[in-house]
Amino acid sequence: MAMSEPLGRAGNIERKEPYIGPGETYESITNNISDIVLVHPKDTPRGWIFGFAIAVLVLFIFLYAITDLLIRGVGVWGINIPVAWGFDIINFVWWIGIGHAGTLISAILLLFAQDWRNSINRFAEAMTLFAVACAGLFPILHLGRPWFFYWLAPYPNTFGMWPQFRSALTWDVFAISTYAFISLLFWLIGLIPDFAKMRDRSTHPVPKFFYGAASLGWRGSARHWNRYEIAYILLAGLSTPLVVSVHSIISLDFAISVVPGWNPTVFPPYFVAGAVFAGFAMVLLLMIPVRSLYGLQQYVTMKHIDNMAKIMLATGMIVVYGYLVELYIAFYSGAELELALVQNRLFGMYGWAFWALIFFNGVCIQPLWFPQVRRNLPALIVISICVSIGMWLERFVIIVGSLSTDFLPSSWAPFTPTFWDFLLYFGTFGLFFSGMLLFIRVMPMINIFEMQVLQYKEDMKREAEQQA
Amino acid sequence: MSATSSSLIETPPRPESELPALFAKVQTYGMIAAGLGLVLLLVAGFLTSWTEVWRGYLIAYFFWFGLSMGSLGIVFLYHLAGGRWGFIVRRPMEAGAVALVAMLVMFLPIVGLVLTSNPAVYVWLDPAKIASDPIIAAKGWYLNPGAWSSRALFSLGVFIGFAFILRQSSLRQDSAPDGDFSLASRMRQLSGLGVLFYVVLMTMIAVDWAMSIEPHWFSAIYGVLFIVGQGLSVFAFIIVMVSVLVRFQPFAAIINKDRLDEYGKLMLAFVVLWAYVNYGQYIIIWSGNIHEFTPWYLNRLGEGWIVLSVFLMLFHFAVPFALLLSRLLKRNLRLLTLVAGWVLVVRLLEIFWLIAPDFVNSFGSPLIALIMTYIAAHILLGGVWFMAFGWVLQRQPVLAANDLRNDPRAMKGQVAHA
Repeated sequence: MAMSEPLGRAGNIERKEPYIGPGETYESITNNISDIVLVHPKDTPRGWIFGFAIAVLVLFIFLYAITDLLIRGVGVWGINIPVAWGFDIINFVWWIGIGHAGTLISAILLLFAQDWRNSINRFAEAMTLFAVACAGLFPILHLGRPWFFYWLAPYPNTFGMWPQFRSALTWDVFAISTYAFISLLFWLIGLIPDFAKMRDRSTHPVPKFFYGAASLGWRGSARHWNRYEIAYILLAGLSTPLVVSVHSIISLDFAISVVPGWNPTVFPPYFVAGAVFAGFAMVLLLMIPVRSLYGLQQYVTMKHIDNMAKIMLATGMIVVYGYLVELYIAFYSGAELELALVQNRLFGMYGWAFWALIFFNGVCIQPLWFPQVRRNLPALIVISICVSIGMWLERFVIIVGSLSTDFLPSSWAPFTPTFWDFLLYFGTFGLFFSGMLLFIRVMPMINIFEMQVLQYKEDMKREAEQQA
Repeated sequence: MSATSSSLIETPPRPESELPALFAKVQTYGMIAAGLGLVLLLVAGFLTSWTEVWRGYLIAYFFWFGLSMGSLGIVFLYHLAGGRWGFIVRRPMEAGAVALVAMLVMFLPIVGLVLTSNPAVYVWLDPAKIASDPIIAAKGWYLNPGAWSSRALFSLGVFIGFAFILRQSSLRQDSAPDGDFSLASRMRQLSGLGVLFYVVLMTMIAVDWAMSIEPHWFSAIYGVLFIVGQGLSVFAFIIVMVSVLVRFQPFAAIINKDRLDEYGKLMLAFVVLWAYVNYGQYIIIWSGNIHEFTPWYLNRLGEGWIVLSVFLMLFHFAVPFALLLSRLLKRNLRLLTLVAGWVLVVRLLEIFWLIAPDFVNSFGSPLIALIMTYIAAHILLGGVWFMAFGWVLQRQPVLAANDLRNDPRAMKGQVAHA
């Protein structure tokens, strides 16, 4: 497979470049995508089995780390006073950010009639769900007594207890559970017509039964489609504010406190952009190998990859703007504390992390200005890895950098993560990848009927051109 | 659906040949308004004081400057992202961006004011304040007449440069055989660079021209507030403009309900974005409750200003938001134009709310005087803006002929066959 595909005469400016490879028909789309799922278990690709085995192994490491945490308590982590939020909250923000690309692709791009989303939305939504699952565990584990996590919900009880609605932790509970619920609903509703297709194409009674149950009696009648379209667009409308609200609330976890460096007013939009940035890096990181492993280059074309890289560049530049404007305003303010904060961030105990994040998030994405780089798969993988590291470091700088040097110099202390901090973080990849790999194996990872809609539009366009 | 029933207007469209006369009218009325505004501003100056004239003038300037900046932003956006909605307004937006030249001229008085160290608008020019206030003194390296003026003129120069180059390339493309791909590609690259300059320099302008009026206060999102406001103003303006242009060919043939729906959606997006960035700033400052940040909101939530603040929450956000959710409304030319016109009106109030309370509460401007000069300055600056806009529009074809993304001939054909 060619690692980078040549640009046409018009580079990428011409809209003529289709979002679906040449020579596809409705039938070939259905066959190619559903065959990945309906293949007999003993013909499962070796690569998948190998990947899944590793993912499950890491999942067990995750369970081991959690078990140890439950037995011995959060003291196994490196957190202490003043750095009471360590890897747990960094990982929480990092994972939830990764999910945001899925919602952006599925909801916002749908509302703005960007047809290219059709090929990648389901995959990205699945990513959202598993990323939210990974993210949601961290604040719960951080509670100290995670088994009482339901105390955060406002439910009638005999203790006379009620959640503190001024606490950002309570806002998180609502923001994230709503986000997870709506994302799940959106994803499942989008799957119904394809589940029906799987039901009709399965030859074995067991998958037929399960796909049949999941397709909720879908028969593809005009009335079904009408209801489906209405439900789908309504859910897109509901999901759109969630893309913004979830990470804005998370930014407020920081911003409503007065820890130095936690309350710039630019935080909400800057966090949202950072989330989408990290999310697109992860989509590229996963989609590039998956599309070549399963031969999906016809459906996830270079034009898709190019578009995703552009969104990554745009959101990355917004994040860079956030870094710069914080420094600029601090210098402009002339306020002693602001200047001390800048001094600390740039040259303090964790100055290395700040410069590393500028390198990973700011410098590494600059090659994306060039179309040749946006269509070069190895380069994109390297850049996406850089962005993932950079976005993790960003949260490290904000959380650990600020907490370790708060307003009271006598309480300043560094943060030293322990083995268990790393192990738990590493373990979440097991949860994430086992989920993703199972999804790829049992559900059509590309929306079949939406690809057919795309094919229809391409056919119409071609016809119109021929007439002209 | 037949071609006539998809048309947005009841009367048959007027021919393209009448458009230059329309633009000439815009220019003439603009000139009359500018003259009238100048007289009114002078009268207001005699009635109140010259300090109030400068203050009202600066606040009004932000709106008209913002309209040009918004137009430039749309031109950048179009070259980067395409879209039929952008193709339709491409030429008027290029004209709006080039009107920055007139805005530069109208800014020179303020530059003169700063260079002569007249502290009518900027208190950091007052030697007594510099001597008595250590924070203002500490900012001297940044807030001084020379540095401030160079930054302002540099930024305006850069914006004008982009506006001119993009307009020239666009006009060249009209006569280039087959659209000349290299020109389109170059405009695209320039626009990428332009967006960077736009965001960075506009942030600096917001800090320099507006935030420094109250030199003790600072907020990191301030530049974004201005950029979002410019976006909202320009989309509202586009809708109002389109409601006029649609009565003429060739616009009547290419503006349909789908395009209206797109403009409506984009305006809705900016209505929400405006509320989002403002609410974000408010909640962070409110919950932090730090004395460095709260005065800005205290100025806007006390003594009468609270009425305007709540009004803006309701009528700059809630009502337009609720209305624009409706798909029926977004596809109805008259209703959408009404909402857009309303948005333009509240934009004028919002800009006043953004800056005037500091003059009134911190620097003793009488509110009535400031309102008078603000209105007069709007008539003057608006007149100048429309004069420049009309002048440029007369001197260029109304649609880009060889646009590679959206072939105008094909678009017309599509409407006719629809």
